[in-house]
Amino acid sequence: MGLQENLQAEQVCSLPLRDPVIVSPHTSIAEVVEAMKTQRLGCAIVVDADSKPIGIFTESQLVRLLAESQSNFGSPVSQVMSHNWPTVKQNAPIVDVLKLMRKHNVRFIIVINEEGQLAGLTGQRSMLEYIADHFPEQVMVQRIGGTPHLHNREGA
Amino acid sequence: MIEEFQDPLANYDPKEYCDPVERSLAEESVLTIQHRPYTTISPETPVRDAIKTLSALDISCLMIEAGGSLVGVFSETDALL
Repeated sequence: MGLQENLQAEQVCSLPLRDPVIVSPHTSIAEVVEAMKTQRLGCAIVVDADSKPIGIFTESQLVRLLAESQSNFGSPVSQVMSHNWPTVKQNAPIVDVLKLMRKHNVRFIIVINEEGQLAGLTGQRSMLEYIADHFPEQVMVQRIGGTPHLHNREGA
Repeated sequence: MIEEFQDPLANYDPKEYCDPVERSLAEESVLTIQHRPYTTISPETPVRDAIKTLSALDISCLMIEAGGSLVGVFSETDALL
């Protein structure tokens, strides 16, 4: 099958999903940032008591906070998190991830199960890995040519 | 004695693609999708100013330029680390 067909036929759960940084709304921004650093992820997902995602805190928001002189990193993350972040169901076609990233201009997409609970994190990095796996020959040639491997440093 | 002519492309099999997405990903260069304009800073730019620039322009990375050459990238992730 071609890539286009695969993107429509394969489900999101077959992507290399990442274990997200999961925090509660009461977690301080400082603790959230520390967890993101430790897990080397560009975002943290805020969940409620039922493990349903209610918000997200990203490195873009961190940059905005750092740029403001009055930011209080002891505040709960719920005060600064983004609400209504796009989500995709585990059994949705992979192409939906691409559509959501494009529509909302975001790098991370939250993956949920049938009950609406957090199931994982996907996005730009997962899609890059998926596409690279589809072209193993070309990627190998490029790596032999001296292009360094991507460090595990950014996002999903 | 005249050497027998050998077609250098005799063993060349043009790559076949399953669909247009595969073809464009494999054959189009980054030139077709590269983002311009981009913003540059110098290696001496204070981190605070780099962060303010990222925030003000709502972009995720800055090119670090020295002597007309690209010497690095400063991204949102660097602000995290």
